[in-house]
Order: sequence, then C-alpha cells, then structure tokens
Amino acid sequence: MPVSCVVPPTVLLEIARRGTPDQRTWALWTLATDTSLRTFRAVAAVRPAGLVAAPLTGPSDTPKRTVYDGAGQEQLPGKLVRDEGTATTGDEAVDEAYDGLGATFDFYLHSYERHSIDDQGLPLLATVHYGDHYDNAFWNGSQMVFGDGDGELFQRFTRSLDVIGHELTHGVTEDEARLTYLGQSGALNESISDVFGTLVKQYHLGQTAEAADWLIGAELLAPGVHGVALRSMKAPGTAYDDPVLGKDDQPATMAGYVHTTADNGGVHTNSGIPNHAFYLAATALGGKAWEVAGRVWYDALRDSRLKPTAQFHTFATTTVRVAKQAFDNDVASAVRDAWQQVGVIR
Amino acid sequence: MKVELERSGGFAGRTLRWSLDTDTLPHEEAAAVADLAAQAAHWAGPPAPGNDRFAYRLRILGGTEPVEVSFGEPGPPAARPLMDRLRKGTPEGD
Repeated sequence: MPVSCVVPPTVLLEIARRGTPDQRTWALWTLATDTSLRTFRAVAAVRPAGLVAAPLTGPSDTPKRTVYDGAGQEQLPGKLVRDEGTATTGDEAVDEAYDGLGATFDFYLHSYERHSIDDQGLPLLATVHYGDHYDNAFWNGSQMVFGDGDGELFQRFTRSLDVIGHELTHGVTEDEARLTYLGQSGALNESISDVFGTLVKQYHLGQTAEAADWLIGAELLAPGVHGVALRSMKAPGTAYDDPVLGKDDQPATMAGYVHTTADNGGVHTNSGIPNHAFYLAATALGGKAWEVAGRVWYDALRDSRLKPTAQFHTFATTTVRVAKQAFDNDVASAVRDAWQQVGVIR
Repeated sequence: MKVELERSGGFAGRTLRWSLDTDTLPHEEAAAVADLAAQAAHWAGPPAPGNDRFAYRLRILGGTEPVEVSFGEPGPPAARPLMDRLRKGTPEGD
C-alpha cells in the first residue's frame, strides 16, 4: 500500500536541500517512505552525495579547526568559542577538543599523507558541552559532537584522545568505504574508528604496540566506576564490570558474535571481533602499530573493491591482499593469522 | 497499559530500558500517560544521521492494539513529554 505523508513533497524537498543534517535526514526518510512515483523521482535529485565540496586551493598541511559551545542545549553548532590559531580558552572541554582535532589531523597527515577527513583539507568542526549531562559523543555527518557526561558514570567525552580520533575517523570512513552502519559492516565501521582512534593516541605518545594499553575511553569513566575503559582491543569483554554501568559484553571472536536488533545490530558490541584481530596483527608485527598494521587497515579502507555492505570476511581478505601489495608475504601471513585467531578466516 | 522505552547505541553501546505500568499510577497520571501513548503510532522516524547516535524504540502494550515504533535521537517533539516521563525512572540495562 503506498504511504503518503501530510507534509507536501515540495516542502520536504526544500527541507532536504536546505535543512540541518537532522532535518535533511527526516525529510529524506519521509520522502523515501512515501512510495508514490512522483516522490520517488524527486528524491533521486536531492540525495546527499558525499561530504562538502573540496576547496579550490590545494589542501594545507595545517588543520582548520573550529570549536563551538553547545551551552547545555541540543542545538548545533552552538556558539563559536575557538578558531584556528587562537589562544587557549581555559575551558577544558574546548581546549581538549581543539588539541585532539589537531593531534588527529597530524596523525593522518604524517602517517598516511592524508589531509583531513576528505583528504582535501576539510575544516574540522566540533561542538562541546552538547546537551544536559549528555552521555555520548557522535559524528552527525558534518561535525563532531561531545557531551559532558552524567558525572556519575561518564565524565566529559573530550577527555580521551582516542574518542576524538574515533569520531573524526567516522568522517574518514564516510568519505572512503562508506561502510553501512548495520550488522557486520556497521561493526567494521565502528572498529575502524576504534583502530584509528587508538592509533592517534599511540602516535601522539610515541608508543609501540607492546607499550600501548589498547583501551578505548580510559579517561571517560567517572571515579568509583569498576572498570578501566569502555572497550579493550587487547581483551574485549573485560573493560568494565560495574553494578550500575553493567558489564562489557564485547566478544573477542566469532564464537561470541551477538545477534540483536538494538544498536543497529550490535555495532558497538561485535566491533570487538575486528578490534581484537587488529590488536593481534599489530602486536605480532611489533613496533609502531600505525606504520605497518595501521597502513594495511588504511589501505583496505580505501580499497576500491571494498563495498559499503562488506562483511567481516571480505574486509579480512582485503587486508591480507593489501598487506601483500604494500609489504610482503610475511606481513600478509601475520594479518591472516590474526583473522584466523578471531574465527573470521578459517 | 505498559509503556517501554529502549535506548540503544551511542559511543558506549549501552542499551537502557525504562518502563511504566499505568496500573501502578494514580488515576489522573495514568490517564495522561495513556493519552500521550495513544499518539505513538505516528512517531516512527529515521535513525539520527551519522554515527554513535542514540536509537530509541517505544513499545505500548495493553492499549487498543500493541504499538512498536523506532526513531533516532532526540525523537519527535510530540514524543518528548512521554519520553521525559519515562526517563524520570531508573533504567534497566542489559
């Protein structure tokens, strides 16, 4: 049965063209569920195509950061409080976001010669103090957003550099493999953000794979919470076990894969499997994880044959293939062995 | 009537559930919740754009017919009063 909606398609199209990301998504979704042919033809003309157009000049080796203050509201972007090259503000969340965006920009530039999210110097936008005791950080398709946390379980989300790297990497994935945020491709999307998020931290600290803690969000947990972080790539499922927060339920191998309808098919749960594969590959290869293992994962993310709906196995075989191309059989063998240990490659 | 709100996703990937049974509420408040819940079938919406967003699922059991709708954060404005009422309670985790 065709579904129609009360807002005329012409109005929805205008919202889809000029609205905020939230309004655009709502308008496109409403148009998409209106199954009349006239709407079907109109939607094709306005569907967003990738990120903002590239600037006319070549990409610069310095970031273009802007940090906004959400002042406890759920409105984006909020009030501009720090622009590129300006002095510290004294507001920890603002300055952590500014420094974290800079560290992430430097990591991508010096490790993979990538200029920002789109490799074209896209400005980096972040809003801090978003919402009231808001327990989350996210990427909305155009910018990064950080809450202050509830104070009981979570502190402000800018405290962890790997969280900032995680959010910015969602933009990189959206620009490259565009991994669909559902089921296994969604868990891969999440894992890519944890992998490069933790590599941003390791690069910033100059750590080897052996010296790194392989934790995600270690600085976020409020004092008194029983746990060390939100996720552990070294030992998924062991990051926290707390009477209020609950227990870390990430699996480390395919034997523990969780089938659920919550969280887009458990994208933040099953990411433990590819996360652990990366940890195993990086520690087997040794040295600085971003140089070999990170390069292999980065090349796989950019591989033109990798489809948005890629499952764990396809991503795994892609990493083995690009490892052989960029390095040698020994690296490819270490990568294959890691995926075998987590049960993705037999 | 039983009303259940589930929030999943977000950076931490925690699933929380808040629920209300109108049988346990004072008559006037039960009627107010039932009035709000009667609109729920119209609240279905898309997931919020981007990644690490909260996803909501609202279930109404014991009304004229069972209703289950999903929508992305922050949720439709019409749903906010019922969501806020539910979120006053202590959530259960998985």
